[in-house]
Order: sequence, then C-alpha cells, then structure tokens
Amino acid sequence: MAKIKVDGKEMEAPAGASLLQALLDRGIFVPHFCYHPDLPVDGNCRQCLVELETPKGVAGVISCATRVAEGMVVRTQTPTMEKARRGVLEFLLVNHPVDCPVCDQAGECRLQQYYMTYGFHQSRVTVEKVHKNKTLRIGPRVILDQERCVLCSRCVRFTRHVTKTSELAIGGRGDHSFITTFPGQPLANKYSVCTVDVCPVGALTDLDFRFQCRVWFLKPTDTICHGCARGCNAVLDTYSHTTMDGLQGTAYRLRPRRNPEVNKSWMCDEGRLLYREVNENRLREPELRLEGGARPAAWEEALDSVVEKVKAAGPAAVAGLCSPDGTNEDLFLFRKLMVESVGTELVSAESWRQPGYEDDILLRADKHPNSLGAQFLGPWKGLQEILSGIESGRVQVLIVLHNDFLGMAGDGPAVRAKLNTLKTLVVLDSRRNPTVDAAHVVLPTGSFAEREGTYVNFQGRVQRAARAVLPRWGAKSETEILRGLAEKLGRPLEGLSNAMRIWEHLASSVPALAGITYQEIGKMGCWARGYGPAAATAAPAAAAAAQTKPVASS
Amino acid sequence: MAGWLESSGSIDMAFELSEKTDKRIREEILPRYPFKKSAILPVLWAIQEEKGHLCREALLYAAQVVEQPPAHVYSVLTFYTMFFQQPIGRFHLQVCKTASCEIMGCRQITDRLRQRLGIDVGQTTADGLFTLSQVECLAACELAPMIQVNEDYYGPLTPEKVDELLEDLKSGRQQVKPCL
Amino acid sequence: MPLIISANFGRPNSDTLAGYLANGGYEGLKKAFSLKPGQVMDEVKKSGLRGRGGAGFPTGVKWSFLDTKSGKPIYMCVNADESEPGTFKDRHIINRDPHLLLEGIAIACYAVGCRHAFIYIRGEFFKQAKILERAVAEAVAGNYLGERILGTEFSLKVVVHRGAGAYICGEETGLINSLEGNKGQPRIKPPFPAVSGLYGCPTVVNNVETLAAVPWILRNGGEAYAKIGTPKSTGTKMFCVSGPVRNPNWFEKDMGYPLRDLLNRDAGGMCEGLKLKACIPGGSSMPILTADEVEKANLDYESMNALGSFLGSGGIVAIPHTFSMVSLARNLASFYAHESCGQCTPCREGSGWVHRLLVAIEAGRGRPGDLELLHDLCNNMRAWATGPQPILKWIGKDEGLGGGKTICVFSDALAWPIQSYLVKFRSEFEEAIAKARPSVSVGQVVPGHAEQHSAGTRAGASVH
Repeated sequence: MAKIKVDGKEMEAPAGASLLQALLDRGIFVPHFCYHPDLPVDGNCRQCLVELETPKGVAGVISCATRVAEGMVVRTQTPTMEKARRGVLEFLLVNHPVDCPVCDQAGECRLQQYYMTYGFHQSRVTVEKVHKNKTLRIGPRVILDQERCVLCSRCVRFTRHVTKTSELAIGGRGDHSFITTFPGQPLANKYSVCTVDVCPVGALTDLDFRFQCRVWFLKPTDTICHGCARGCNAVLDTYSHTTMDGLQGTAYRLRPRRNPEVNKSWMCDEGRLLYREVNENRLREPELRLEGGARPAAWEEALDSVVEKVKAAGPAAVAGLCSPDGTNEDLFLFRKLMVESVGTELVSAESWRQPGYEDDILLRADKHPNSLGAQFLGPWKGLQEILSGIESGRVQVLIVLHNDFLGMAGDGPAVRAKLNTLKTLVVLDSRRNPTVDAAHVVLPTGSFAEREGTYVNFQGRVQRAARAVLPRWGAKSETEILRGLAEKLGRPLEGLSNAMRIWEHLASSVPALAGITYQEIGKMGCWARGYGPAAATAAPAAAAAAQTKPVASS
Repeated sequence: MAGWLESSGSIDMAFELSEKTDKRIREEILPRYPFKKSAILPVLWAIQEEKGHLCREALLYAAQVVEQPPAHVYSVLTFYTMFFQQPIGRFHLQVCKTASCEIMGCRQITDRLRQRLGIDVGQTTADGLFTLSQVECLAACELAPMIQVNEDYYGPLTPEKVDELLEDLKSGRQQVKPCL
Repeated sequence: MPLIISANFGRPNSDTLAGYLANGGYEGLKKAFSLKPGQVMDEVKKSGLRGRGGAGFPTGVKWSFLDTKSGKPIYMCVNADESEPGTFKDRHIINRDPHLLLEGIAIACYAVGCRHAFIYIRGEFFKQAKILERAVAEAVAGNYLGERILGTEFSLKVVVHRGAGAYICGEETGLINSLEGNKGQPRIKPPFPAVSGLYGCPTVVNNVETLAAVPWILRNGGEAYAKIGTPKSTGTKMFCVSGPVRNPNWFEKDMGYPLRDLLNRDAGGMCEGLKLKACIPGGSSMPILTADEVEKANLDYESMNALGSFLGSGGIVAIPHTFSMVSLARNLASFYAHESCGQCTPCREGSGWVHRLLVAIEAGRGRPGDLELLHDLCNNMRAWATGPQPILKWIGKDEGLGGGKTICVFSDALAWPIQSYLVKFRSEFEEAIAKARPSVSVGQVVPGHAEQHSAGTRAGASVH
C-alpha cells in the first residue's frame, strides 16, 4: 500500500496499481473510455486526465497508465484538467453522428453520459464530418457502425488478448481510422458479443438485442448464467415499466456482470441467449394426462392427483429425480420432500446434459450450473437404480424436477421404452421438452429468472442468483410446489418458506457450506469451505477435488 | 451475406507468388529479423514489387508468412500510404504538395498533369500508363516543386518541364534527368 | 570552419567504400576500438553532441541511459525516416556519404554494446535504401561491419528496413512499433526505449545526422568538437533552406550561425521581386519567425528558444510576402491531419477539425469567432507539459498548459505553428474572414480545394 493524496485528501492505494482504478475503487469518478479493468492499458482516449505533481512541475497525465506510487499528489478537479477533459470530449464528438435517438446504446452510452456531466456545451463544430461505413454486419452476432466509434480499441484488445483470435483491428490512420475485420473474415469467436459489452458507445451492437427494447424500460437483476459449470455472473434485463403492461416480465438480454474470480467481465455468446428460456416454449398451467386424455388443470387438482398417486403406490414405489440444473435450495427441498414427506430413499440428482465444448477462457464441458452443489448435497442414488426399479415394477411413481432425462441425446428413446410399466410420471419444469411430453402430471415451475437460490460452480464458488420476475403466467415457484405437495402428504416442510431459510438449513448440514450465510455470499459469491485460491495453496488435494465430476451415485 | 465485410481492395483467387519472390521472402527477408512479425513491411514490399499491388489473397499469404492474424496485416497495410490494394498505372506520378512545394507552385504542376492526362488526382489513365497522386513532403524541398515518379525524384519543375517529362516517360527517352 | 558532415560530399566516388577510405574513412572506428566502450561514450559526452532529429537531447547522455544490466540484447535504430517538411539533410548524407553513417553506427554500437542495428529509412527513399544496402554489403565485405570487425571481438549486423509512407514513424517509439511489424503508432512513455524499446529490449534511436557526426568526434576528440559552435550547442549542423531563395540547398554551418546570413549569403537571398515575410526555422512543426525575428536569430538551440521557437531539424523555409499565411496554415494542417497516427483523441480529431476550419477560412467561408476557436482547439491539443515552454514568449495567456493530452508531441507540432501564425500574422486571418462570401454555405465544395487524394490505401473511409 502506498500513501497518496487526492484532491487534498490522504488515502492509501496499492502501489503499482493503475491510478485510475485506484481512484474508481475509492469512489472518485474520473471519466474514461479506453480503460477497462480486464484489458491491457492502451491510453488512447485521453479522457481520464488528472493533474500530478512531478519533480519537473505539475503535469497532466492519463490516470489509467499512471502507476500508484508512494507520496503521489493527484488533483482531479483543477480548472486546467477540467478544460482538458472537456476538450477531449468535444474532440470525440467532432465526427460522431450524434444520432442518439436511433442509437441502441442510448441510455447506457458513456459518450452521452459524459456529455451531460462534463461537456454540455453548444457545439462549435461548423465543418463537415468525416463519413465512414454504417450497419456493417461483421459477424453472426455483431453489427458495426464505424461513425459512432471512438476508436478506444477495447474490442480490438478483447479479441487480441482474451480470445486471442484477433479478428478485429483498427485500419487507416488519423480521423479516417476505422474498426475492421479482415475483409471476408467474420468476428465469429464464441465470445464475440463481449465486444459489444466493452464498446463504450453505440459502435458495436448486439444483433439479438438491437432495436428490441429501449434500455430504460429494462430492470437489471443480478443472476448466474446456468449454461455451464462456470456459472458466469450475469445481469438479466427484463421489461419493467408502468406502460405497456403486456411486456411486463419479458426478458430481453443476459449480459456479464464483472467477477474477477469467475468470469472477469466476459460471457459466452451461447449463454447470453439463455434469456429466451424466460419467454419461449413455456408451460403456462398444470396439465393432467391421466385416463381420458390430456387437459389443463387447476393447481389444486393437479397437486391432489399427485398425492393420490403417491399414496396409492406407497412410499417404497415412489422415486425422485432432480438434476444439477437445480439450485442448492431446490435440490435440498426436493430431497427433503422425497425422504421425509413421501418416505422414499430412491432420489437421484443425475446429470442429463451431454458434455460439450470446453476452452480455457470460460466455457466448461459440464453444461450443468450446479454439479458441485449437487455433489455437496449427496450422496444420491443413480438414475440406473430408478430405471431398474421401474423395469422390475417396484417403482410406480416417478417425480422429476428439472431433468429432461428423456430428451438426453442417444439414451432418450431407450429409456423411454422402459417407462411403459411406470404408472405415473410427474414432471416439474418450466418449458416443454420430451420428458414433459411423456408426463402424466405436468407442474409448471418458473424459469431461472423466477427463482432465487444458490449454485456452486466448478471452482467451488458459491454464488447467488436473485429473482428477476415473479413466476409468469400460471407457473409457481419450485418452493411453493414442493411445499404444497408436502403439506398435502400430511408432512409439511416446516420453516422452509423461502430460499434464505432453506439455505440456513442446508448450510448447517453440508460440511462444504458450513456456516456460509447469504450475507457472506453477497453479490460476488464466496468460496465453499476448502475451495478457492487460499485453500488451493493450503491443501492442493482440495483443489483437485474442485474439478467438477458428473454426479454419480455413491 | 457471403463476404461479411466487403473487401475494399481487389480479390484474386488465382493469386500465386513466383517461386523467386517466395524464396527471397523466406530465405533473405525473414532471417534478417529476430521475430517474423518485423518482416511485415518488407514482405508486403516484396509482393508489391512483383505484383504491382496487394490483393486480398496476397495479404493472406503475408499473414501466413509472418505468422500474424490477417486483420493485423490489413490494419498495418492501411496505415501506410505506399501500399496499393488496386492495380495502379505503370507510372505513379506523385506530386508533393507540402509547404515549400506549394509555395513554389505545385498546384500548377498538378493542374498541368490533370490537363495533359485528362484525369483527376487519385485516378489512372485509361491506357493504364499513369496514376496521379498528391503526396505529403518527400524530403526534397530544395527541388520544389517536385514530383516522384515510381522510384525517381524530379525537380524543380515547371509546367513545361512536366510536358517533357510525360513525353520522356511515354517514349522511354530521358531528357529530364531524375535527381538524387 | 571545419566541415564535419559534408566534408566528402563533393569528392569523387564519395558514396563508395573506396572513395570513403580514400578520404580517411573508418579511422574513427579504429580509434574507437583502441578505447574501451565507456571511453567512447565519454568522448561523445564531452563533445556535447545533441540529437539532430529535432529534440536536441545530448547524445552521449542518451546512450548512457541504456539499461545494460537487464541481460537483454541492446538494439540500435537509426532514424532515417526523414519527413519533417523543409528537411532533406539525411537524404543528402545517405546519397553522398553512406559510409560516414555506417561508421557512426559502428562506433555508437561499439560504445553501447549493441550487436544488431536497424536503419529505418522512409519508404519513398527507394534510391537511398539501395545506396545503403550496397554500402552495408561493401562494409561487410571489407570487415567494417559484420563478424569480428577489423579483427576485434566486436560484431555488428546492420539491417536496412524500409518504411512505407508514414511521417509518424520518425517519432522514436513510432519507429520502433513500425519496425516490430505494427502500425507506426508512438508508445506511452515510460517505459522509455532505453529500458524497453524494440522487442522489449533496451534500444537507442539516433538520427542519421547525429551518427554522421560521431566518426569526426572519435578522430578529433570530443573537446575539439565542443569548441565548435556555441557552449551549449556544439559542433556543426546541416541546415536545409527551401522556398523562393536563389540557391535552395543544404548548408553545413557551425551552431550559432546567423539565420540572416544563411538566407541572404549562403542561400543567395530571396528571388527577384520577393520579400521575406516569415521563416519556418526548423521544420514545419516549429513556431514561425517573422522577418524581424529572422534578423536577430542565430542557429543554435538556445537562441531559437529565446525567440520562442526551436532549432528542430534545421529545415528552414523562406515564406515570401506574396504567400498567404492562411494558405500556409491550411497547407500544414492538411499535412498533420493526413499524418496523425489516429491513436489519441485530441490529435486524431483535432488535426482534421483544424484543417477543415482553415480550408473554410481560406475559401471564404470563415465566420467571426473562428480564430478564437482555432486557437482554443490548438490549446486543447497540446501535450507538452513540463520543462521549458519557449512558446510563452509569444502566446500571451496560455490556456493550453497542463499537457498529457496525447502520447507524443505530434499534436504540439500542429498546434505550435498554427498558433504562432495566428498570433504573429493575425491580420491576414482576420482579413480572410472579413472577406468571407456569405453566399457560400457551409458544406459546399469550393473548387480548387480538393482533399488529399492518393492512390495509396484509404480503405473503409472517405471524406465528403
């Protein structure tokens, strides 16, 4: 730590750190475009000028490229610096089209924001602007407007240093410089939309989100991407405004939320599209497909029919199947329902998603968000045990929570053939899938946006996803459904009324989560006991254990 | 949208470099540098020397030789003024237009060339002989107003001398002598 | 008055090794080899030789900054990217005495422990690149370069590297970036090249003329060199005179030589019927001198600073009374707008804005307030923060202090001359605005003021 003086106030900052980051971390805002905490410093925008006392006298320096040093005296507010920063901002607007009303970045644009804060001048530009190309589709997911670009090179540095694919570069020079790909070669890496995130202006826009919704109608909710075992910290943007109520709760965008321990500022292109699960292919009301064909049913009737089937079969003939898709809270509650309310030990949390693409950036082969959490909450029985129970006729009722085991590539049809002898298949899920289609009772849950809970990623990071919207249409939360069943079975799940209460129970019974509170998890997550960098240096074995494994029976 | 970002330069799917140039690049140029990336400019120069310009496929070849992403090679190429993405005339007439040359009358020189060749700055004559450009200071201010034709400097020029020079270039004689 | 750089220029075969040896060539290198590298460096320090590229930093001191403890190879880059408008000295040195430069390189590399030197020569110098390549081959064959030079343990590889058309590659870190195979954009300093330059290794970048002075210093001693010129600006310098004078040419003169004499005697005075109105003293980037100031000006670093300008690269352009300062400003703004590397916002956007404003003013589309705007834009572009500020001599209340607005001083190189024209020749600009034709509206193209056109690549963007 070094002692520095900023605007007359003494403070401590890490020696050698970027002065700009140190100022931002201490609540002193300095405008900036090209600096990004997860990219190498480039120092081209010159917006983050501050005044520094040097042996040669007072000098303007860009704070991003200045390293914190002992005894540094910094001034951020002098008239000279304010003039300089206003000048830089004015220069950025000389050739900018100022087309905010039709720009998708409006409302979350730094140029727009800084103009209101630091500029707010009458335009002095009387000369013609330099014209460049607009609406260039430079990749499957990204659109480029060269005129709006401030040439901060963040996108270029992203492709050069993060994905190492280097599809983007700045061509030309002077005020004719332009962002470009190599002609004919698209920006098509698996993280391409991150270039849109890092773009501080409206030069790069996301083809999927473009012109879908003005951002000021969106409400951001902190969530966790459930696309793979990385568990990227993310923000889900959902429609929230008093006008146009029909759109209320519609999800528009899933974008990364910075967490240096997990995903830095990045997220894969595929994961971003998972917001569609909130809107599309949803189950809107319970369905019964018992004798006499399929029909929609009221919740009461649907739950009653499940309880009736369970009671008729007897505890030993009931099995439960959930998956590492579920939150810790849901898995814990599901198991408790099966063991305590139903009275069966035959509960599985088997993986149903095929392993997929993996790289050393973010993407993990394990496509479940909570494999490690499920492992912590085990041991579970294997799916195979349930299937042989069905085949032998011992299992007559199967209750499934978020496990599309019939949709599993390859195995699905073979497994389905074994289900002929199953009397009742109860499925709790949010979207239509092959398992739902085969169910006798369908109980619609909310999507990931409608539930609250925690996941443990492959590193052992315990992370919390907040609820963005209330269960949409006729769906109910998992907690509500499971508690309803327990109550109707005559064995209510006492004290487990919401995610936080459930967490308190499970954290006291699972050693890896012992004593962790929601407060400790916070917005950024925390390490499970025995995991994380500190634990890795203390006990390398624990780190090895952190490697994710498919959840198997024990 | 087949081509994504369209090429502003020419595309020549049949592009093939002569064995001689390829050998020169690999055996003479690359070994001069501790890192291959340093050879980008000399490699581009060598290709342009042979082909007259750099088509898209030439850039891909260069990128592969210096082991750099094509987009990087493209950005380097477009930063400098002396690489051409389209074929140009056999004689590239580059009129210097900076300070001393303007004071000494480079506009008359450009105007004379426009008139005589019937083309504007940035254009090539229909016979493919001449391309007319205006360029920034060529570090030959004592010759102002001066012009670079391919590798040669000529100056100080007058409109009359321009006529002679054009005749020289067309006919292959050398009455107007290039300067050092 | 000894000629240090141009002594051999007129002699027969001065561009060949044989010619060079006949004139006592490579004796300085032999002298250097009789000394320890540190002693060679001391000799150059004693000479007081300062960088001839424009900045005037003491050469020996620059060499001594090199980080020799890092264990990394040390590189030398010879700056032959001569592009400062008004300057053509390096071209003549290479044309007429390439071995003088090579000997200077060899001595310098011996002094700093460099085994690999690059001569970065501007792309337009096709002939000069060939001359240098031939000279390097000759020198290697004669064992003045290459392995175990002249039987010593010292080996040196010299590579001629051609640029491809970019003024900014004359900035030392821009040169390094270009040589590495990047765009020639200057780098943030620190780290300085002496610590982390080419390929992240300690690197020294010296101008052609600077190195060409080194053999003489070794042959005759640093003290002898220091006796020439003025106490702080030692030695001789190549001055280039262009514009409408009777004898536009290069002249090697002792530092401190009167500018008036250079223009009137050596360059033969103004051409028939023309009067000297102003003079660019050291390349187009330097603040201009009025005819009155020319009378008082001596050609050394300190005298130029005292007049509020800089000696720069020694490119002197005589401006006749018939040539409008508005046109000169527009001409140079066009140059800088075309050559800005485009990295830093103020320079990238400011240079084009200043240029287009000046085009408008010259074309009779100026507006009241444009001069104040121009002046303020230049203030907002200037990067030079600390150290002496000679421009305070004429700029009045300076609102451009603070600095740090760009990575290199390219934007100052636009702001200084433009502001000096605005201050010193304000009436010409005011007249241009007063004569503005209101019938011509903004955006209308005025014939005869076409933008820069080049057959070179300007992909992706166009000016309308």
